[in-house]
Amino acid sequence: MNQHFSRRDFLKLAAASGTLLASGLPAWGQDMSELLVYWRNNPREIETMEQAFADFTADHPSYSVNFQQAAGGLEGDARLQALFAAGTPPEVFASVFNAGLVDYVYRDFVTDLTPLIERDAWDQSDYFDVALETFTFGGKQFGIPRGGIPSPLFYNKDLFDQAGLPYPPTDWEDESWTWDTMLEYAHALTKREGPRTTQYGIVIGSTLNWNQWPMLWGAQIFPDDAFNYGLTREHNFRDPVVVNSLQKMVDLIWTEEVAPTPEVSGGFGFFGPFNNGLAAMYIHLGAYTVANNAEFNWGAAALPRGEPSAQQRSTTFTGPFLIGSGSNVEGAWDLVKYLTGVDGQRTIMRGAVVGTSRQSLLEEWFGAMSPPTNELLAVQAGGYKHGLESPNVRLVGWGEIATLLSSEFDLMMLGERSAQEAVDALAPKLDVLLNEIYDKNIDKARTIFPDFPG
Amino acid sequence: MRSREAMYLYLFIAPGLLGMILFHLAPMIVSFGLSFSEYEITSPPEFVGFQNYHRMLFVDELVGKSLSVTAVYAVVGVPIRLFLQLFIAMLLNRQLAGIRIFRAILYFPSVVAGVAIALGWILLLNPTYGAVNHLLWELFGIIGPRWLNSTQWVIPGLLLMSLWGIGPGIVINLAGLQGISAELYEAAEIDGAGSFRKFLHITLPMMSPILMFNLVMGIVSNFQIFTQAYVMTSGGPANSSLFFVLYLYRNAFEFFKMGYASALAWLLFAIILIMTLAVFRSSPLWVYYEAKRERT
Repeated sequence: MNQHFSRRDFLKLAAASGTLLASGLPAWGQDMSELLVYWRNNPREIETMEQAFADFTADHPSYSVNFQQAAGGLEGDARLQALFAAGTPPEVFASVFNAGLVDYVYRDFVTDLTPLIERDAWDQSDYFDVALETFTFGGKQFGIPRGGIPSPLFYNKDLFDQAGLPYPPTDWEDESWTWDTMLEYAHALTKREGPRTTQYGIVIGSTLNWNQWPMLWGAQIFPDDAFNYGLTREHNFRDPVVVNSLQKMVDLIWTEEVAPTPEVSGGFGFFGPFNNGLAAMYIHLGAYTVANNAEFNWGAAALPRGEPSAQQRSTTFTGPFLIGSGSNVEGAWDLVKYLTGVDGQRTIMRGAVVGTSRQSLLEEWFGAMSPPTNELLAVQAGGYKHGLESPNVRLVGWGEIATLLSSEFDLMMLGERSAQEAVDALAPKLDVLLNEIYDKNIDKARTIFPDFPG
Repeated sequence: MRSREAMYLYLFIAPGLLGMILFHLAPMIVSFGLSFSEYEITSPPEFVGFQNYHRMLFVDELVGKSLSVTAVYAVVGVPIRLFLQLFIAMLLNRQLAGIRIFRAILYFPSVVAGVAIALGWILLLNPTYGAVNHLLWELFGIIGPRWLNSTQWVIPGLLLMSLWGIGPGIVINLAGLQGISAELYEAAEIDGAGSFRKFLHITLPMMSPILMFNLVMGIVSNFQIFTQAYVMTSGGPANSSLFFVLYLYRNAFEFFKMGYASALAWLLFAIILIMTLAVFRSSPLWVYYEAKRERT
């Protein structure tokens, strides 16, 4: 049988393929009630968020939620940018990646929620004031709080008991809790067998955007106006107090030898030496969920002061829910109101790294943890009182700034360079970068902030 | 009939051709245009003339740094891998019992995803708990280096890891070795040639087209290395593993400087093109093509 693939056959095949392809297309655009939520791929958060979406769509059957996740950090920001570039902005997202809210404000990624809040008389009295202030730029509120944590000092109560040491205080006003006392404890809690360290006094869990250490000595790496407008030409790394604080931090590893080196910490994977019961104290933002996985008695305490005058010692990270500009704003607003309402918060806070921003639910959130709730509440309240928001949330171009800081401080963290040498190398480069970011964004700043001084 | 055949030809090459035009050629043309602009994706590109190229060539010190890191990795890594690929292929070319199993074992790592390999090697190269330093101490009494945490050892560490993926090169070499006529070796043996002579005067010339292919592919892939540094070191410590493509990626997708990243991409394209042309131009001096020789 001589069968030919004729031109007619080809046209038939092409028409059939086209019809098949086209039949799949309407799903992309016709369902106007589909809400795209873009999030990081944190398994605990995803589980509780999915539960909250199921509850929301049960109450609001006209909506469906398309929940997409990406890796955290800079990769998540790259995908977020691609969503906006493609004209498919997410209805709901958050500053859970590397860039902070202010970066999104400058790039017109987020919707001003003030008119919606006023129209619906959305009650925000249950949120911490600091959270609302953090999300407000030029008198416009761009986010609704979903959680917040001031970084405390976590500690292993079992190891403190074994060493016969008193627990660190929960009271942030306690002037006896100083860096030197903490160092004394760290030495007492460090154990060695010959050349090997078998137990560490303290772990530097992360560098906390580098601002944490100067804050213990009453300094900051950027001036205040940087955080007011998200732009600055100045930084404080040349300040001897900042340099000294960074040196004190790395001395814990290389001089005092009470903290593990980066390679030792790296060998323990995500949960690190603290969660493995091999370190007594731990300074790490968002570690409530980490500490909560530990199989020992743990507690949270105030951060010590390096200098008696140091009041603002805790780095706070306050997370908002954001609504993508150009998205289905009304649908997104319905979802955000649910997620930040009491029912939604009760569901998602079980897996949330930053807990809840609703003061009325804080007791319930801490109640699920092993330390006494009143202790954790005291540490949280004191942390907010003695805390400052993390620079990454309120500084434009943080991704590039953070990359520069990390690369210039690498050798300091590895013990191959002093803090002074690291700062000497960093400072001129940071001057150039900050000026570049400032000049590039100054016009936008003038449109966002009527009182912008530049 | 010829027109029908032509139609089939175009029909069957159409998907590939369209893919190449849409996903390679068109983006290349667009990126060339973008390299003369400031472009943040979410706002329209703004023409800036040669500003990106000026910054890249005369201002940005990380361009030189990342190029030198990449060049060192390629210059050291490519010859080592070429040698090992040929050497192991020769070992696997022997007619021994169970040789197929050895071939499979040596190829197997190549099918593992790059990110999975990278994560595994982070643990293997951990200075304190990693297997590599443990073996160095147990077998040779050597205290191993800090590998990924050392500016001096991070590139050797990544080179060591790259040997994990030489399987495809071995297979190509093995195919080439099996294509060499046994008569050539027999004739050489009759003339009294030893193993080294046979390797130098038969194996190496006959394998030279394969070696050239692997060299070109090695240059291209080594100058485009990304995953290992992205996953394992983030370019650190202190930018000592900041490969060029990682720096390009950062500018494009982390710092949102798409125009500048496009200029960087064209610099990389030019470098790879020049190096590849240099290899092709030099090939008459060291590559032996049996078929060509037979025709002349």
